Amino acid sequence: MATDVKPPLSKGPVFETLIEKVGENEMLLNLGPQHPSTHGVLRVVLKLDGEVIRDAECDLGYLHRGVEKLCENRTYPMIIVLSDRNDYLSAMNNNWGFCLAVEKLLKTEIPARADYIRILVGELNRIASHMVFYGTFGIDIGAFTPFLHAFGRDREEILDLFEEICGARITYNYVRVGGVMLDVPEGWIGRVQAFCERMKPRLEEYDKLLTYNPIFIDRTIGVGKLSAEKAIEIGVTGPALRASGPTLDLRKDHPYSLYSQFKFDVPTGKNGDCYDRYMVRRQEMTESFRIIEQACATFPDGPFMGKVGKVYRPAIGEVYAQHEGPRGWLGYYIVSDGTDRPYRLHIRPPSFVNLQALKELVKGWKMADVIAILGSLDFVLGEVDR
Amino acid sequence: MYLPELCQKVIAKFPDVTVPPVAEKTIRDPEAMVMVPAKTLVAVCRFLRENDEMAFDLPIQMTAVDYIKENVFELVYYLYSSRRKHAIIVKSRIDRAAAAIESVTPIWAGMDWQEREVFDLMGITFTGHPNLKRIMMWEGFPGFPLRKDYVHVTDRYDSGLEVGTPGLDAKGVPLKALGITGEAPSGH
Repeated sequence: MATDVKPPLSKGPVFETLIEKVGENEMLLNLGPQHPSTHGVLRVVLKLDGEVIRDAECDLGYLHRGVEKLCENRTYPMIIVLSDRNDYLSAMNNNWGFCLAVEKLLKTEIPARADYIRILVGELNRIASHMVFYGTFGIDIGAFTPFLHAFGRDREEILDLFEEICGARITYNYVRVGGVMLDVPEGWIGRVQAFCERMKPRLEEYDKLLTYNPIFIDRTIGVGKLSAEKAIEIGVTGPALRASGPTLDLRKDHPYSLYSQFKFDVPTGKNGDCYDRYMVRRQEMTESFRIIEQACATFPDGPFMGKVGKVYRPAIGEVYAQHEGPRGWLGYYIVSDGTDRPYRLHIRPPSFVNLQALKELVKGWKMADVIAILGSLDFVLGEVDR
Repeated sequence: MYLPELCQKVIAKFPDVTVPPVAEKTIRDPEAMVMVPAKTLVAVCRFLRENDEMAFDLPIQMTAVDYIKENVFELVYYLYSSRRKHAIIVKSRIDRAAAAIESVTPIWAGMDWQEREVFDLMGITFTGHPNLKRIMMWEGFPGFPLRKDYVHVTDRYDSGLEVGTPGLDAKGVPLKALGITGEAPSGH
């Protein structure tokens, strides 16, 4: 429409080396932005001495869409749609994290059934997200079959279950402020229970394929060690932190929703290497199934939506709410000026903060280990760049 | 988890730190919150990190809000203690005209990219930051998008219906652009 305005692209993205000082025997290697093992558009500039990594620098922003600015011009229900697009592998958890913040802002009570549905879809989505990690991490290491099992077969079943309740397979827009979009269809809980039963032998199969695979073990044990002190200083959260030892889990430490009613363990690692980061996620799948089974067994009746109007204007104030996502602590900071749109909205994406650890992790390792370390951090670039 | 004694301890150590009164405290969850003058921010942060009772070792997030009417930028730091399992919000206000504050990256390495993001999108300089470069936008990008007075530069990706495009009303409703006059369609 505005054809007479020249696009400001003449000064467009410039190729920068990011790392300047290169020694006599050192070379710079550009990894990405289009590379299968960066799981998105991430550019990493590596300084190599022979095959050993001496330094690394990340180049972000290839997927920057200005979500925080977009949110300032949209009403609260419209932002749930945007939150789907941040971490597109666990969109339910993103919906939920945002709704937690708005509900805190509105001081809304939500019915128990809605909380149960949220826990069900949230944990199912956590498993689906870890299945993507499981499959792609196998590919990164060189094992193709786990991907076909986890991504091609089992994750599809979860997406089928999601399609049944909301019609979408990736971007759900299902968790709403005050509850959820729709009640679960008839027989859905039974189908979730049947899926849990089907998955029990399959998880043992997962272990046979990767966990006890000698090549996989050789490639991951002891590689890319992250100490607990360093992880905490960088702000790493989620499975990547728990692999280093600390048991920080918002669901346990500061229970929100109805998590305090469920029995589950928080898996941790000892060494903080790639194998531990893999194992924590693998065990989290089992724990999530435990939560799902308990939730299915005690699924309550009642309304699925609380008393929230179609249009709401939260009173002046601000809020910070956190949710334990599959990748770590997902936080939403919202400032309300009393209108139907947020004055300022900031997303604290776990991947963005966790990715800072990459620079420390790859130093001293060989080129092939970089791929293992990248995969073990399990980041989503849609969330990093927003 | 309201810990006013936590705030009292910070104030006992730094008299110029204030706690917003409860009546004015608009934040919904009763988190401990302190307002710190910009010049003592680093000293307070170092105290929060190193003091054994505080032990705020996990930098969860930092961001900035543009309060253009009051002509200030407010920086918001959300800190957590992995050992004591408590959280605190540290706020600091700076003048919009002199948008600079000391970096806390030397205290928490995890604030590195978050400060770069605020530098990039809000245009606040962090003195003492080891690598203060743009992170999301490219070098030479005009303006700071998250500031409230940012004017969108129309480019070839615009549909012509964006908020702020000339010819649209304040809500971005395409009145003149589509040749429509009168009331905006409901539900837009």
